[in-house]
Amino acid sequence: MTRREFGKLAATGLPMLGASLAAANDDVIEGYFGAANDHLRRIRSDRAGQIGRAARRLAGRVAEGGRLFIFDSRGGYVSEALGRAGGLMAIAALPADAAGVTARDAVIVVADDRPDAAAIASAQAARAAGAFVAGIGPATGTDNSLAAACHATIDNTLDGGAGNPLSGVLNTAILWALIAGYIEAMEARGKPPHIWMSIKRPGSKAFNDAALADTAKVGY
Amino acid sequence: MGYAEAYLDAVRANLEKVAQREAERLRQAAARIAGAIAAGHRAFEFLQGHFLPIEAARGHEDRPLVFTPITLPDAAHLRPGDVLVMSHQYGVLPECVDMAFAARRHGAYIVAMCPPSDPAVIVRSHPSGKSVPDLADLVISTHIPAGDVALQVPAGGPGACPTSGTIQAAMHWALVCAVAERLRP
Repeated sequence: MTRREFGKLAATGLPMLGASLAAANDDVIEGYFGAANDHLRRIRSDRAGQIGRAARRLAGRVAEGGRLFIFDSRGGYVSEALGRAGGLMAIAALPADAAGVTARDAVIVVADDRPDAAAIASAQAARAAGAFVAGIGPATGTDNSLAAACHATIDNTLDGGAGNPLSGVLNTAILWALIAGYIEAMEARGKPPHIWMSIKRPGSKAFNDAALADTAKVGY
Repeated sequence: MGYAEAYLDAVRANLEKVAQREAERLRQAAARIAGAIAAGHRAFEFLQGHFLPIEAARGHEDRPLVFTPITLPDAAHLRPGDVLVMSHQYGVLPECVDMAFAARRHGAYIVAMCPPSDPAVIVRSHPSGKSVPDLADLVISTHIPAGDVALQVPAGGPGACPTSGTIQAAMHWALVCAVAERLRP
């Protein structure tokens, strides 16, 4: 589904309680998944190298004693990355105005289909402090403000503009691909990062307690 | 192949599995929700977890509002004829299961968007031993990989990089689009 097609649906002004049922267009679900898959295929073929390079630069900072931060203005991607089973133990939300961030640190800034002022300001503040800043979001099309604010930006292949229901799906996939690349780069440096075990799995408390204690010692 | 590529391959494979195996159940859910709204009932969404509750929250510009967010303390607002969509990684946490029990008591139709799971692998923490899929009228699986980790790295660890955030968001928006399509003027 393109942004324009979704916009047509959005223009219906839901919720319309008491609305009459239209004839079902059963292509909508396949169309949405097909569009998501097309974009993911494009990210895999055209952006994987860029993701790997950004991941190695993130790892370079952390391996030398820096910290890894993440920011997005709504908090969804921060919530996705922090305290997450299968996610990094040593990643934190970027403090307001990038306070305390130093040139040793690394920052991920995620922006939805139209980068907002808070995302741009956070990226600029972290960059001004000397941190390496990787962006995820729209980096082509009419609005290149995210790319201008970051050292490296992984374009989510959407053309910007509001209302696209694919941005969250694609940005989340890119975020985890970036973290996957970061894990690989840290392993290559002999410093594999600690990962949360799901609290729904047997033995998770003992595993996580030990891993957290080790994370506190080594910093990643 | 690098880990980033491996992750993107895994998430695409996961999405393709959902598209191939769950499209019909998503259509059933969309028809049920659209029918309920057209008949004057309401469609609620109970979301717990990481990315999706914020992604699906109201306030995204230009996106249709199909669902009313609901939390456990408001479960008494549910009525027969209403539909409750519940999306969660596994639907095993006590608050999720309590919500599903409450929805059943109030006569709401429950759509669970989470995978069935093995209690020996995914701990049931509700005293009943139930999970949301056990209590739902319609279960739509997310087909996330075992343990919700796409990569078995670093060696000796629990595995890394979940797909559930991406997949739950895709399923949420596919369902929203399908309901919106059915209710368009």
